[in-house]
Amino acid sequence: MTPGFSFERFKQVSYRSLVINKKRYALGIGGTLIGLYAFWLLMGVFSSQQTLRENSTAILAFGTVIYQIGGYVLTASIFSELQSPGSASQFLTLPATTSEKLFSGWVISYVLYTIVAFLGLSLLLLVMTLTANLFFSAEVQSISELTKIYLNNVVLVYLVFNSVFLLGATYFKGNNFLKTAFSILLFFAVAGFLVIFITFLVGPDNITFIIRPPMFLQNSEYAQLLFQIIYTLPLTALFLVFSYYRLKNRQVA
Amino acid sequence: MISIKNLSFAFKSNKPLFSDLSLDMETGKIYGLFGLNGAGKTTLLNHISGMLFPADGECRVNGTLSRERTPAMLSDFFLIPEQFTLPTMSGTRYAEIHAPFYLRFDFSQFESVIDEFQVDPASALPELSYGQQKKFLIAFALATNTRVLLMDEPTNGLDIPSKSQFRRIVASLDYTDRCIVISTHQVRDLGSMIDQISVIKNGEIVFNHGLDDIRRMLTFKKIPSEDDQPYIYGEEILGGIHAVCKAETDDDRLSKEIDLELLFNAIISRTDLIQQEFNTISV
Repeated sequence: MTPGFSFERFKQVSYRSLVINKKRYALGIGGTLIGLYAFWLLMGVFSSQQTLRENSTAILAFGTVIYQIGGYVLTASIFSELQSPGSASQFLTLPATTSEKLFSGWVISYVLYTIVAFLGLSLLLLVMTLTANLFFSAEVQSISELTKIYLNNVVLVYLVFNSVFLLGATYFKGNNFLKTAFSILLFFAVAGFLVIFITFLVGPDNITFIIRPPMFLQNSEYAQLLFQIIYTLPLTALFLVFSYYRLKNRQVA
Repeated sequence: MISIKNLSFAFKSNKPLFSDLSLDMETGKIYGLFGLNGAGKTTLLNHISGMLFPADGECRVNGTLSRERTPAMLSDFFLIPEQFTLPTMSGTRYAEIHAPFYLRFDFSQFESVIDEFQVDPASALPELSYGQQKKFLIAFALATNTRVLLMDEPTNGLDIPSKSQFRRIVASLDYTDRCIVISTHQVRDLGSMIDQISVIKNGEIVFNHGLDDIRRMLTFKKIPSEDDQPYIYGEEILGGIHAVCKAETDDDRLSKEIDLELLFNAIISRTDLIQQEFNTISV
């Protein structure tokens, strides 16, 4: 029995988690895509060719918002077995290390979910394109726009907040999504009050709170992306480490 | 195999449940862990399985601190909790995805126990009755062939024929290199299977002896009403007293019958007297 991280056990834990939750995941992702398509179709009936294209952009943008919120809901419930004493024992006594269980939760809720969501939105775009061409003789959003939206902003923002919700999944004992969301709001509210307070003390002209990449990086899109990665990765790693220790010390009572 | 040393524990804002509790459990035995409701049997099992951490002291399974919850320890260990929620899937699927975690899992044994219990493994687990689910979990637990098997109130929710089946199945197990702990307050259900009796009272193990020791030290008999024979503990029955007495003659010791329920009541009600009788063995 491998005492450290075992890729074989990681696969077994991930497979188990996917089998247990597959219906919920399929309903959530499938339902969202069908809902978005139905909404776009309904709008298409009452739209001109130009607004049809704008609608498709709006639907994809809305899809990325749902991707994030849905992902947070999924992440907050990734260790849902821990929330009831009846199922917590099965998860806690499952023969795998804490790192295997946590990494499995992260891979499912971040890597796999992002791939599936991206493929789902691409499929939605394809279906919208076909529908627009066949029934409305119009054009819609191109796939390159979708890729741009994802890579530059959403995926990185989701990376950080996903790790916060993962911590919430290991920390709270019920209503994990709401409690984590409330904690994040509370954090930003307190931070906002602090900013206002410090600004009031120091004076608005003497202080700046905005983190910007160095000037030489601001002209390059890739350099800006790199800068975003540099400050999101350590933050994510920090929350993952907190989640690890929280899960390792989780008890049934 | 299981070693608990100086365990102290209290739930938040409550008085201590365990204070300096020590207990060793060896291979080749089936332990009956008895105690009144609320005595701490489930809490003790949760400590052994690493789901609760001691405030003080330590709990080891096969030499590993149970709170570490290492894969090596957990793959050689199975707990059947009293309250459990099984995932939404068929029994067959459950076995398929969980069996790889247990190196000695035996599918033929699983199928044989499932058949004997008359549980349909193709049914969705949450659709089965509580008793059927429990029988499924018992079948899975036995098939894991882990060296440590803990069962918390295993006969709760089982009908009378299933209780007999359970006794028969456990009695037929080869447990020479296994340690099986059955926690219950239904002493009568499990009498025939147990080798060693451990009783928790007020957060302490007040009794921990094998059946041979009990036969050597105590006898269980009916004392007629008119007889004033001394006894350690007795319960009135028609025409006399059903009593736990000190075994003083060879005839007493030849009596093989141990009334577990009476013994348990005696341990709970006359703890000091019973401990006094057994002190000579401990010394």
